Amino acid sequence: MITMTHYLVFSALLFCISVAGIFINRKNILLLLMSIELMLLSVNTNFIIFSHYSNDITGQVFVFFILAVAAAESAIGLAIIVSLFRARNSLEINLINKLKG
Amino acid sequence: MTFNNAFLSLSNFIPEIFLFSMAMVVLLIGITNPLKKYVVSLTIGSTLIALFLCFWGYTEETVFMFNTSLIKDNATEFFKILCYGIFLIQIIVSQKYLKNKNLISGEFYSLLIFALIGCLIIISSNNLIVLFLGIELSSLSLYSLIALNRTSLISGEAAIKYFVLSIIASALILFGFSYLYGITNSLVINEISTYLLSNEISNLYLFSYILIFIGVAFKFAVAPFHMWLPDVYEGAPLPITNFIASIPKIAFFVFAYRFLNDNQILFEDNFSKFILYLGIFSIFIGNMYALAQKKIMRMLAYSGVANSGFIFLAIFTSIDFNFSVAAFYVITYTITTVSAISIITFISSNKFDLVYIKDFKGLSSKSGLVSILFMITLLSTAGIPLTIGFYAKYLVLDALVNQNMIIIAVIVVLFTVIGLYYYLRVIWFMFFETGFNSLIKVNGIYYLAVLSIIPFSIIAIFLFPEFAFNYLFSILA
Repeated sequence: MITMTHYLVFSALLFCISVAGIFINRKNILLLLMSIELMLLSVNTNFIIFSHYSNDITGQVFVFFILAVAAAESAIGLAIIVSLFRARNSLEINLINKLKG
Repeated sequence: MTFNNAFLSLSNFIPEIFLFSMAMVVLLIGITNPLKKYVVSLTIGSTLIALFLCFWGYTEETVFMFNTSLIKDNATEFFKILCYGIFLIQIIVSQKYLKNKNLISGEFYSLLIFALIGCLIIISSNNLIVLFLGIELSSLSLYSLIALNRTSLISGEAAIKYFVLSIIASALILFGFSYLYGITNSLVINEISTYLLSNEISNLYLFSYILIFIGVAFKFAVAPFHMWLPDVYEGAPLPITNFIASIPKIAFFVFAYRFLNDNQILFEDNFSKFILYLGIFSIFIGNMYALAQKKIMRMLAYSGVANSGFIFLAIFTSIDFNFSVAAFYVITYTITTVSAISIITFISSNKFDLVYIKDFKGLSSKSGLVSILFMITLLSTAGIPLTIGFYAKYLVLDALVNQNMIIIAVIVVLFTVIGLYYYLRVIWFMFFETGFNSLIKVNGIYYLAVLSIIPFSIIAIFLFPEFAFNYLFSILA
């Protein structure tokens, strides 16, 4: 029997994996975007679970807003990455080190 | 009945709706050739009209709009007017700098207005969905504004750093929201914060508040979460830095106020200690790193980290008082930062960018007025008497001592005294060294008049601090 706790643990694990993905990843900026999407999806899972178990529709409305904003966010992120690639011909994270004090 | 409600809501939301439509008009005018040159004056004009509409629609009583998703009361109106004022000063001062960098365009100003609207929505929201949309509207516009200077190598880098860390902050806040929704079954902030009046505090509630305030700490750049701030300050165009340093901080202060006001969680030891330790750590890290900086913007960024620590300490002390101490500190910090960055923008608007601290050498021989204005600003950030910075720091320390936190107050004072060194170093360079870059011209009576508004008000408020503090106390009660 799958209970609400199982679902909550699942979405918390998804969130942890995506945070780890952002901090461990040293290779490519595009992987950062994927981790960010995963992060927002784990939040969505949480909202859907709570909404389902409490018979309240507003949580699912919130999910639609998060999905729309996540799409806008990745569009802007890709645009920034394109302009960064034009300037330095590489997407490696190790090379993003021009700003230092 | 429903129609009447909708009409009432719309009429109370006129300033934002007007600004929103003007942002699109600015975008359109930016691409039509003969009208292009009116973009700046149109932006200034529409902000002035929105400010006027905000005054005009002012009412004493609290109004809930759009089915309780937005709120309008004394506090929101005050902070909105403050945001409009700061925004006006920023766009007036930055014109010459932007013209020189070839950044004046319709999309620049319309994105700037959208970022402002996002912050205004954060200030007046009473619903988690609207709050989230406000946060995202302001930060999405800011990502693109930072990256707008496409020829610069460092702008893109600053943009990607701000992008990633800001989204992590938003996701942490959202994750906290999802648990709050699960516990309270409501998305209305009023109901969430008064939930504890009738229910026992649970671990999950505490956990979600800690997640949300880690997100807020990211946005305030409080110490363990401050990594993005120096890079963004250095890489972004100066007018955008000016925006990021001031208006979102006011908005997120109101966010914290909405979540903690009337909430029993501040009496929960785990949560209040969490806020307190973040504050102390931030004051330590900010002052120590600022000592080692050679670039003026990075120095200001680390001083901002130290000041955000003070804001968190002030939020911690609102167990006993209301939020007026914290509000006074936030207002003081934002207006002094705006003044400092505006003066740097003004000096950098002729061909030569002021990057290093030693570039300030001999500024007083070039223009006495500008160096005196900058000195007043820096002294206020450092907290020297005769400026409101002193009174704001005094209020925080006084509140700490009242709660028997004398050791913590002493530690904070020690770090602040150490931090005095890096402010005085800039003042030393301005007044006691020679050799200012001869390319720079610092004149223009119009700009100087706008620049001197904040330093004069810094001294004027210090002479009557009780008046300002009592006003804040009454609106936040």
